[in-house]
Amino acid sequence: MTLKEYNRAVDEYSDRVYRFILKSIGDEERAKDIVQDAYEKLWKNINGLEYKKVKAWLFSTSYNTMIDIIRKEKRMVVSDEFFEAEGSTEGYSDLNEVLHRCLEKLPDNYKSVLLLRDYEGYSYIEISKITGQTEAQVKTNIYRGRMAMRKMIGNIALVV
Amino acid sequence: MEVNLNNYQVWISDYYDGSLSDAEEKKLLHFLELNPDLMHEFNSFGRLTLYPDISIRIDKASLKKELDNEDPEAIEHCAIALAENDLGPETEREFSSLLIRSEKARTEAETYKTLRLKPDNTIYPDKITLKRIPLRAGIAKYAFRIVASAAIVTLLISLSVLIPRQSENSYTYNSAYLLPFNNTNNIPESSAPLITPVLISKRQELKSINIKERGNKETAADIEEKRIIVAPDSQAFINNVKISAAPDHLALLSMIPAEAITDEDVPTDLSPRQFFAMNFRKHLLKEDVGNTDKLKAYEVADVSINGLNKLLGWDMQFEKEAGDDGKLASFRFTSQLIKLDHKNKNITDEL
Repeated sequence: MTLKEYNRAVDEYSDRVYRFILKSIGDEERAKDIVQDAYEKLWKNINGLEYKKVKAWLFSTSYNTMIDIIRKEKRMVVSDEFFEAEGSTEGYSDLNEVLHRCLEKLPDNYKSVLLLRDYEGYSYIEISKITGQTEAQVKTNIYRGRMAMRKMIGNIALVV
Repeated sequence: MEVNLNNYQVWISDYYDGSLSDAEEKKLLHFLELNPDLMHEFNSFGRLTLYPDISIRIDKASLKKELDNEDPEAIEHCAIALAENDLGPETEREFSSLLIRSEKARTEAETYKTLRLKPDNTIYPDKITLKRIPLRAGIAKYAFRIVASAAIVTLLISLSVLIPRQSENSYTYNSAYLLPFNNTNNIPESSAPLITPVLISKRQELKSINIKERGNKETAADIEEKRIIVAPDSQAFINNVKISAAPDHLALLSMIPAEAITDEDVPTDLSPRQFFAMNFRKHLLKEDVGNTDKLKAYEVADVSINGLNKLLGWDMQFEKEAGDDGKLASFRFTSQLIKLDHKNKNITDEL
């Protein structure tokens, strides 16, 4: 990868990676640090990477850093318990806002795969490579994440 | 391998597993003919195989799932799979059929289609800090010199600001080191260590300083009759006591480490350039005394960057990496506006 391609990777992917990490971890400063760290690592590996693989590499590196941080803080939530309905959806202007509010309450293992699926349109196998989960785990987590969100939202017709 | 009395059981087991080749089978049968007493064992081995009891069956219908309105779990699963574009062709046909028949299934399918997160307008705020500026080889060498030269100017300016000045009320002194005015030749023996003022600058008229006149109540009693002589804008070293005079002729006394002025390792007979280089490293880079090599551009840049950080509150970083030979192999400069990573053996250019 060339210097020009590296800078293009900053333009094209830094917002996406930041958005993914920010929504996953919910901490702006940490998210910035993780993105910064990912690009530092990218710079160090600039000679060993092809540009077409950079996006997945950045997501994977950022995800792993984030997981390390979460594990260190021992706040990784892997519960399969479902969630109570939000009860009230008043105060939210649109469904996307409600969905993001629900996303914050999801366990981390659901949150990341849903974000990669919805934000970036990654396939199960691509998400599997990024997160290190098996394809079956990815699929299960996406399904369960959707069901959990559905349960939290309750009657979606009221929101829509 | 040949069949013998030690391994014939393995051969028999392989025979019944069907893993022997034709030639091996012949070998085994020939061996059994030669050892008829083993034939019974051979025949009974074949009867040890377990066969399934096909009479045991389960009600498959109870395990099968069919898509109907009575199975909300299956409907939900299919609704998600449809939204994820993850339905197999057969299931998709069945579910499409159910969608026509079931209002509930349609609602579920529509619901899960809408449960898609859309990215908001969040952007990475410091994108410019992630970028790297192209630095062509060859230009790097000259750019570095220019930066270093600019840094020297900045350094000189910032040093004048950064050098700490003691305020009038913050000076310290040791009364044992204060000399009675006009009485430097009559120092009592009890005033050990023997002290003799050394005036650095003799160009200016010597002036006496009456410390009592500063009105410092804390020290006035001790120094009532004592004065020291020091020239304006100059310094005097009395053993490990530094006495310096500010432009207003105030004598400031401060303790400085004895080794700072009595270092036997300090080379003598230095050229001005070597003297500057040695003191630059000693006081600003905090390196070992005695290195009188010519200053390197990166050393000046290092000090300048630290000075600017302190002066302006910036957060620039200048990292150096040494190679296997202990010499500088690469450097990295990071600021909010610019990042430079450079690996070049030529960056140790001397100023």
